[in-house]
Amino acid sequence: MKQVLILSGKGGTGKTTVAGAFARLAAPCVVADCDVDAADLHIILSPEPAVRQDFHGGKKASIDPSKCTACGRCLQVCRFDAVTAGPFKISETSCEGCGVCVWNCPAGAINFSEALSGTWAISPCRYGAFAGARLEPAAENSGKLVALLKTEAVKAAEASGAEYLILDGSPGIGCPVLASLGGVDAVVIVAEPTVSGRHDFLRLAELLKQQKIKSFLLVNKWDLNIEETETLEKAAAGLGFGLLGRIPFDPGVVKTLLMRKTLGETCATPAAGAVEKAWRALRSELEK
Amino acid sequence: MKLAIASGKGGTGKTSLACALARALGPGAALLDCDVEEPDCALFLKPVIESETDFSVPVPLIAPAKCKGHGRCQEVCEYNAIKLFNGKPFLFDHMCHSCGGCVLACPEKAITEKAHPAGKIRRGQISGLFFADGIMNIGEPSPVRLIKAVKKLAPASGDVIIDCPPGTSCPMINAVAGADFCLLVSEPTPFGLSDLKLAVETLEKINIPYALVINRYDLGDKEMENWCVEKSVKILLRIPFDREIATAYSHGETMLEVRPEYSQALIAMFNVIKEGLRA
Repeated sequence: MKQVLILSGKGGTGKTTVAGAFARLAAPCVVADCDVDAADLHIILSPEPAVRQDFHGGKKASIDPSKCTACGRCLQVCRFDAVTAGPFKISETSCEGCGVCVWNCPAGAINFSEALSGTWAISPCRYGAFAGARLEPAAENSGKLVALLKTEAVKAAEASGAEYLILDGSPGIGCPVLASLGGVDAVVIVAEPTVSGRHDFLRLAELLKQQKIKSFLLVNKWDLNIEETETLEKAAAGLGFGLLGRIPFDPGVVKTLLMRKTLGETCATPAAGAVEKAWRALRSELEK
Repeated sequence: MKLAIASGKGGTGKTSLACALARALGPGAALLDCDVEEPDCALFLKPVIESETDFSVPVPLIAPAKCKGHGRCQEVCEYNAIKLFNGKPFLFDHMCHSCGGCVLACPEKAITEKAHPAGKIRRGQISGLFFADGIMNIGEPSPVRLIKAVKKLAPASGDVIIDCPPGTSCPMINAVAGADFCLLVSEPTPFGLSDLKLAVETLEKINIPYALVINRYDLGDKEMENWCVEKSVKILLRIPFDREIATAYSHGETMLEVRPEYSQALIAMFNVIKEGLRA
């Protein structure tokens, strides 16, 4: 089983669109949406409803006002600006669950309990199995949830005998991205030919180099700026990344999305053709 | 007024709008780029950088000679960043959240802290417009501390625009926290709407008033508009898809370079928000 992760650095470059099309082309496969912060892949894959499992990402501290003596020790030891005085309170969204206030409180007035941070499920979809998670709004520890979802998706892929696990990643280069990298066979970076697209691509590329992960570039909306497309491809080739081709700007992409279908599922559009070509190129690279 | 610009979904036009708005407001205002994983505002605003400082976070420094192997550090660490092997502590510093718990807990006072480089902070200006951004070091897991540090640079007076990271979890929350108002930028597609709902839920939870700008409003469908009517979410501006703007953007220019007429619309929108807050 091979794991293919779609990343971008910059948000909104077309990760989910590419991941959906790859899932269709790799079917039967397991697909996991690792962008648990703003999960969207389920919209075009319409997985069957499933019983969702709870995810507890960590603990949260809260002050019991009946026991609090207002000594201010919690405020003194908290490094996350989560405690406010008069009456003493802990902000649920600022608390990072370190527990330092809990064991430093001389009155034993601080409770520390597991917080529900999200839910996850694996269920059938039209291309195989879909693993999806949802982080509670304003919750923490998306990295832990991504790691959990990935472990479950790998198990499902191995159990089903699927050839491919397609992973739709998060934007950025922080903890949810780091958590999605473990064990992947290839990363496909979907980048757009813009000054900011190049900047964000290079930051992600450096991370992937650091982690020694086999990586490929797929340029989206390449015809928006031909010079930038060439610059991106040169930079990628210089880093030893494979080139999977160019997707043109194509109004058919949004039209397909509005029908809640994967690219190329209902009709052939220029972008769909480019993504299919990219998938064939990636597949032959991975089967070498 | 402190105005945060966020979106849930990435790539909807946060940075474009933040830069164009800051440029329209001009001297006396400030722009803080808090998308420290992928900071792009400087590419569009081309500020004169006046200072660049290293940003670091404290991580434990264990003096092996003083350690008696009590293991209190391992016990109190909620992040599994310190583990004892054969009675000796071993630090996994990428797991550390810099809470300082182990320092307080060690009965032998064998733990102090050292600075772990986590990024850079830059300060500058664009003809009188204050600029600051944070650049997280590649490989660092959490942008939150750096985001908080960049926000502290906001000048005491004048309007402040904060460009926020995508998503709805800790990076976004910490960038938005403390803002007077949050402007959400989205696009009218099923993905845009789904992420907008999450962003709205998040802002409701942390009690920050908000309104919406719909970007490329003519490329999608009407579901976002309908949802906004149903939920009484105010739409302050609709920007059509414009190949000229997209091309200018690809070259690192804001929409004002090709469509200067947006300047007035942006300032008008800003004043509507300000007045709404006063009322």
